[in-house]
Amino acid sequence: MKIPMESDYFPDSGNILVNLGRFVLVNIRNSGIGVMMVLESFLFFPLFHRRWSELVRQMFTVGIKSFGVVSLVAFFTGMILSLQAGIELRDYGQEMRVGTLVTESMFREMGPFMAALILAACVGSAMAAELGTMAVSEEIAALEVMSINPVYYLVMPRILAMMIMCPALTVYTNIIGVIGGGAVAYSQLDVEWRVYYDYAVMYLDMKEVLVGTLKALVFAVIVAGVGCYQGVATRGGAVGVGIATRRSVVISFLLIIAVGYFITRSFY
Amino acid sequence: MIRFESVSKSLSGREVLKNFSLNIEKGSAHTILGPTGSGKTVTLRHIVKLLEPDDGCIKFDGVDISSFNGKDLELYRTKFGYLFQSGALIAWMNVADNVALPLREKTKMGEVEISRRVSEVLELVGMGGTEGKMPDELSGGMRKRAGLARAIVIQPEVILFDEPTSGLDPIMSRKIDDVIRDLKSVLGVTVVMVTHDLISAFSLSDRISMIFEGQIVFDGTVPEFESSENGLIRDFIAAQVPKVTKQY
Repeated sequence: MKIPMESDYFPDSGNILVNLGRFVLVNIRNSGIGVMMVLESFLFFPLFHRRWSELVRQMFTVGIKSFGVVSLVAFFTGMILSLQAGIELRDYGQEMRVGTLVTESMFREMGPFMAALILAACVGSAMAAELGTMAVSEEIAALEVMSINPVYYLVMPRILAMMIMCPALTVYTNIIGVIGGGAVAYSQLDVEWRVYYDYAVMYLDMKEVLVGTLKALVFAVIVAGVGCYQGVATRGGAVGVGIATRRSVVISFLLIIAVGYFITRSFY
Repeated sequence: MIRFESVSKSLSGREVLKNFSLNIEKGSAHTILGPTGSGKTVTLRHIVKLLEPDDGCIKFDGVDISSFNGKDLELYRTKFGYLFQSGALIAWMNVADNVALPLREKTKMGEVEISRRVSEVLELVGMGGTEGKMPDELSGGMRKRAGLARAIVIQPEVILFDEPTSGLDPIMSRKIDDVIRDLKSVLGVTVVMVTHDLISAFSLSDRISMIFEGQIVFDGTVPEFESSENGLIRDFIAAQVPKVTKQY
């Protein structure tokens, strides 16, 4: 795996315009290298059984360790959605329909979005920090000298684990969000659980579930891909690890929001 | 065996190697000396193609390595063991798993055979009985020896040492020197070492090259190095004289 340093290709210049062009070119090139790394990791998916223990370790990190945070955020997201929508709907005597609104919002947008943001903050950043530390302490170079491809050995299990666990966590987020919404509907809006449930499932169709799952899959690739790339491309000791971690969170957040919009735009 | 021909390399806008030429003989212990930042580690990294020259070429047994990719590169790298400055042990694996890593990934050896081989090389570097220890439980010297065990476990033809004694106390440094000397005599490998530790260089080397600002300023035997009138070499030796008096 080759990750050339910026100035090998585009030496720094005193000219502002030249440096702006350099910045754009460097980022385009780095994005290309990152995408190629992710695509290369897909090629190693058939060999996942050889990295089984690492895959399980990563699935545990992505899924189980994020479980508590995801549960809390999902529950409160559902509660907020229910409360905000319910107050407005009550003005029209339609508060019983709050279940539909919460469910549609969670399955279409908020579930995949919230799960991905939490994973980017908790797990993607941890991937960048872990691989970044390995990069600066020459562990990744040591793998390369041993002819062990770091993409196969380190990146593939992380991306695959994220692609398995992110959709699962998204479905879980949706369900907990709907339950949170129900709790508010029952306690604040006086909507019976049965009524809330009936309206919640009335308009939910397979398309919402599938598009939500597709979003979760794409977000998983973004979070793990950005985290891993920022990690393996880390330079410059502890400071570099800090920069890589911050970048992984910022880039993941931006990509999740932008790509989320385009997926929604494509299907609705 | 390894030949640098007019190699130039720039990193972060700085020319690290300038028209750099060097020949390393098979079976020899060749030390590359030089001050910090002179291009020693960059030289080692070129040998295993972790870096590629901007200009010039590197030949191994007469073959230009620039064309090596994929399987060729994999096969080429199996000829090398590389001891990194920090040891570069994988942090979440114990010593035995670290040493076994190239065997598990690159050979079809069974677990019993791997375990036997791991114990054998750990004994060879004086680390017997540490199989279950994690890297963060090891001292600097032990980490380097464990890294060395991993480097030699697949029986390479060439072992590359990147500052093997840096950061170690003098006693541990001499222990590492002894391990390197023993390995060379037992395994009969070619040793390429970069260091600025003159005691190591004088006691282990058949040949010394001095690198300064990306260029070779001296290439010769240890006695030739000691008697050189080159000002850089005299300064380099003078700076370490109190430490090396009659120890080599």
